[in-house]
Amino acid sequence: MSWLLGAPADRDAVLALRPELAAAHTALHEAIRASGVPTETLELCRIRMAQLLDARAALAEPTSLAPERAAALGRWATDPSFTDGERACLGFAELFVLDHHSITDEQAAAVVAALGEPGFVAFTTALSVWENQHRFDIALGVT
Amino acid sequence: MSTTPRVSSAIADAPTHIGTARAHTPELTAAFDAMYAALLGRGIVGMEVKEAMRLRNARMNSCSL
Repeated sequence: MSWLLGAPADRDAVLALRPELAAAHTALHEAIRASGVPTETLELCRIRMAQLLDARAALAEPTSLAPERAAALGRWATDPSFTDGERACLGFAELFVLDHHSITDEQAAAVVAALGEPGFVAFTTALSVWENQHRFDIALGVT
Repeated sequence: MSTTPRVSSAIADAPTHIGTARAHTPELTAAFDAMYAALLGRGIVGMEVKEAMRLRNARMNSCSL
């Protein structure tokens, strides 16, 4: 139950309490989708971060991932359906959530190799936005 | 923790720092900054409280920037 509205509330309902923030939030997520980073990579990492944070609202939302890809996400390191580039991004995303100071130069370089430098900047920005969104959902009881 | 930039400057002849690194993605950076401005610049939570939370968050994450 959302602590703000006194009843189960989705993210849109909670954000509607502050329309100016909602508009900026929507525009930011649209900019992430338009950043040029492959949609599949972005979605894999968004969902993986939600799994690590137990962000149930995000996990309950529709996803563009094929069901078999979503099901394999917990074993991305060894499942052959994941490309080297996706693995580099998923490993980086996991450490971004769990222990960001332990990210190595080599791991960062692998993401740059996969996405290019603009992609790396966009990808890291996306991770920061999603981590905040997942924590926002949990903290405010978004369903 | 790295002590060297992991991305180059997007601006010729400028050193790499957060501004020149983010210049690789101008549209996304503008959208991010608009969100940041909406959070920091307006609303009913006072700036003193927001700044205290920002600094506390940075310290907890050992962010020296």
